[in-house]
Amino acid sequence: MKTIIRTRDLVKSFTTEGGTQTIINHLDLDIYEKDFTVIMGSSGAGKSTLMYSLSGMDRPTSGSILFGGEEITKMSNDKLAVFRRKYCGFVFQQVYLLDRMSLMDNAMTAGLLVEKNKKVVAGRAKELFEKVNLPEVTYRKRVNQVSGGEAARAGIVRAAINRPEVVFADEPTGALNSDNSTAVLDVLTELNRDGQSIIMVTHDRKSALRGSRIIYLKDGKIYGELSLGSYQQDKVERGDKLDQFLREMGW
Amino acid sequence: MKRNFTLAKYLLRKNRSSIFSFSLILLISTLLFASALTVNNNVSKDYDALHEQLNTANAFFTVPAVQYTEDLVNALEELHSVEMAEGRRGVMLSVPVEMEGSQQEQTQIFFSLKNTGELNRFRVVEGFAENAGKGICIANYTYIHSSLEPGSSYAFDSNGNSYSFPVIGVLEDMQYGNYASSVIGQYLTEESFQKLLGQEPQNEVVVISVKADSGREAYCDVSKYLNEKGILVISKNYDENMKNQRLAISNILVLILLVFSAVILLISLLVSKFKIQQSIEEEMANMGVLKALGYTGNEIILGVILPYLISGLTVTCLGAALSYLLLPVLGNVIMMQSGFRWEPGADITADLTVILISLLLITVFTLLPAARIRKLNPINAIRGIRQSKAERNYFEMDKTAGSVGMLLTLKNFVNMKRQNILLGIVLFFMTAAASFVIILYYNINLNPMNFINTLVEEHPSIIVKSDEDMETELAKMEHVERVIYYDEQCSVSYRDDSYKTFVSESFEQLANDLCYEGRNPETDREVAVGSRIREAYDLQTGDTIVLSRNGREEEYEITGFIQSVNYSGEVLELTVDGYRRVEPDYTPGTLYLYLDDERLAGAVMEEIEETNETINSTMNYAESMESAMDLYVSLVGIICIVIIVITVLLIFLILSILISSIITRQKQELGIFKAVGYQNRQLVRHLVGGFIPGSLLAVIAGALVSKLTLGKVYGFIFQAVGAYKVNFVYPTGLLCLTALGLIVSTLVIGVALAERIRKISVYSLIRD
Repeated sequence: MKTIIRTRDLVKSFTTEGGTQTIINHLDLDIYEKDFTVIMGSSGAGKSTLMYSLSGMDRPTSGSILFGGEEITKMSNDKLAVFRRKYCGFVFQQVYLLDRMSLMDNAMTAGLLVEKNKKVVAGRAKELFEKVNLPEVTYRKRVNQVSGGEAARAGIVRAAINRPEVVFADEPTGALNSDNSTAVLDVLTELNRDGQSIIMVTHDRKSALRGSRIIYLKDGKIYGELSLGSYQQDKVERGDKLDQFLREMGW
Repeated sequence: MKRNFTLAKYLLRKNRSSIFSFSLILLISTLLFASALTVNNNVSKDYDALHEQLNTANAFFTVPAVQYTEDLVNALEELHSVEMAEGRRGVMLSVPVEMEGSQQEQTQIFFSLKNTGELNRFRVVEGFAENAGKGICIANYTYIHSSLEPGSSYAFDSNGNSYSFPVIGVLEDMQYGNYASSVIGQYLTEESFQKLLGQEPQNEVVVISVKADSGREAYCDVSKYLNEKGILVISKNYDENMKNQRLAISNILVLILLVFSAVILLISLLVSKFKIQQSIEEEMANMGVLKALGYTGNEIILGVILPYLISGLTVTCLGAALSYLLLPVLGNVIMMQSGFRWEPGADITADLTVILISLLLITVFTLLPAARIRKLNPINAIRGIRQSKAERNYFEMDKTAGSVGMLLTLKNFVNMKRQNILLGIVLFFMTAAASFVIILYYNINLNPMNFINTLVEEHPSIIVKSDEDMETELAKMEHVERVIYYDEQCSVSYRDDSYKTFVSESFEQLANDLCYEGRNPETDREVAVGSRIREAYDLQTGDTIVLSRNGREEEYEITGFIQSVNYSGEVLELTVDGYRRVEPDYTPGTLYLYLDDERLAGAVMEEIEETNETINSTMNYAESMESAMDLYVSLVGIICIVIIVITVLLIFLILSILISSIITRQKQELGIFKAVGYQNRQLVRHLVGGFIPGSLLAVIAGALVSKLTLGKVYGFIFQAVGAYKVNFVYPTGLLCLTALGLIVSTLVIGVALAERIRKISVYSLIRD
């Protein structure tokens, strides 16, 4: 499989009044194309920090990150912004839509950064809204006029609108009820089936089950790794395999 | 109360930068407001006090000594409006004085220090050796504007005689203390006075000073009496008129300061209102919690407005205190024009007025938005439920034409309504203020003729006095454009009062048309009348009036009305032939020369003096005018710089409040934009761009209103000093440039402040 992200000797540390705290500790990691990579670990293990470093949202303290063969740690802020708009899509736990705009405008705001043709972007947005089951009457509403589940699905539309190399999802179901969680995970799974590479950080076993590869972080290092293969709803042994892995990891 | 302070302390800490900006704006406002009020309350009062302390006459008349007798004073005291009259001998000369670095011809009356009566006493400003044998005590006005000082020598030539007097002191008197009466009073020791009188017996005059309840009434009664007795009045004036002329700059200064401070105060109040509205929105949940805990609405309101009241009280007190540093500067400016030495002292009434008015307005403006806290439902507030109707999503991106940048900018504009309104109000007033000073600068510093034409009478390049007709000869000289007979020293009587009369062969050729309504006289049967005479007798164009001189009466038709600041509108205009109807022997002897280049006035004047022996005197009027303008040029320059600096500072402060509040409020939104790939410069553009439509609208409105009203504003200001025809021009291009300058400043400041976005990492935006 083709490697799309490669980190070598990656370190991220924070200096606080109590001293220096290393969150990512000399980490080497390869992320493969079309994989649904799930990053797990206990609180403070460095899951989100790793994800935001990989996506160019945050800068590591040292080490290298090659994204599509390009070193992103040396990029200027402006270059990183261009990099993110082209290669990354983001789904956040708190959704983080621009709440003074409609759901459609949220998608267009991201889409028009890459594709200047408004019709093309609007067409792609409508296609994605259909895929996430949001009708026009809903995606024309402002963010504060829709439910949490609808907003979360709109967040996925925004993340996928530019056909990014990788969609980064940070606890995408963390703030949703069970039905909405399933709906969001279904959309992500479907995107992955269509060939979309996804990196998801989660605490949730049910969410992790959707992944094809589980990486478990502990003290800023890869503590364990599990290959689950592509998601099939009725396969019971996937769950057993994940449960056993998590037990081994001390979950 | 302690609980209120806890909330107030929290809000003060949280909003410290905007409270600092509010305080700074309020400080500027109260500083100017307190200064203006102190000047307003005290200058006039102190002037009157000094007037009284020096027992200054309420009206005074200069008559030739040969026409004066002691009986005249007794007779004047019999008039019902006169309480007391007194005559004082002096020598009246036209003296070349170096003022502000150039020669000016001034009419001066030299008195004896010994010959002081009960009226018109003086006070010593500097020096003054009472027992000095020879010497002169110069007027404070001369001291301020010339290089003369105690120890120097006052030397001049007059009527072929050379004089030199050691300056032994500086005196201030309220009668001839400045040039408002076109005469300056100087005081010689008895020995020097007798020497001067011995040389100039023909110029001996007597100043008849009159003490009265009403200076104006006594002025009219005495004028009438002297006219009836056929006594020539060389110059005359009365207290109220003198005061208005001497304090004209002070009054204009107070007006400008009051208006400007009121505008700045309004801006600071709007800032406090805006920030309180914003605090309530930001702290809605916390306020809900406080209510749930049992705080009453009023307690929370007090906590919210307390930071503004405390900083308001501190800053207004500080502003009032700091005004005492500004007052000596203003006092100096007032002294430069009035010659009256004003020493500012503490004015508790002005300070308290400023503090109370400011605090009252701050309370009202902060209570207005804070009142909604009372209606706040604690649960809704905690949940963040706002009782407002659903807002529309303007400029839908898939349906509206335009680039993403433009659409996001437009969305920002709509979302920042309140900020745009605040900035718009500030920019509107600042455009008006900047336009006001730029026009002032343009008409005084760049085109001084516009100002000169408004405030002074005719201004040739050179004045030549000769008993012979030299008009043709002088007109042939190189650089001389035209030569006109013009006489400002004539006088005629109307209704028992004698008036200065400007006589010319052709008013149309003069450089300054004094006519503000109708036209100048063209035939020997026409007259133009000064503004004050018009008001006094309710005259209209077309009316016929009877003028007289030496018992000879003639009828004239009024063709128009003229202004004269120096003579307070008490003047007339007649043609040479018109004047001859009442003075048949009149021969014009004063020629006004107009050069193609006024800088050559000195050289041309020298040539005239060298080649013509029949000349009585010459005067480089262009140079005199330039030096007289220096005071105004530097004063306007300072006012201009101060107002422009305050304007830019205010724009900076307002923008810093608005932009920092937007960045704080929209930190997460900006983070989202950055996360999806927007660059810093794009976000800066969208943010600042959101202010452009409102700013443009406000600045254009400000420039338009300025264009439409500045004429009236200047008309109002100059009318206060007796100028009815303001010769200022209001170039549209200049107003457009001012507006453009403000827009560019706003954008540059906006971009500089919005650059803060760059410093915040995208990850921290989301994490926070």
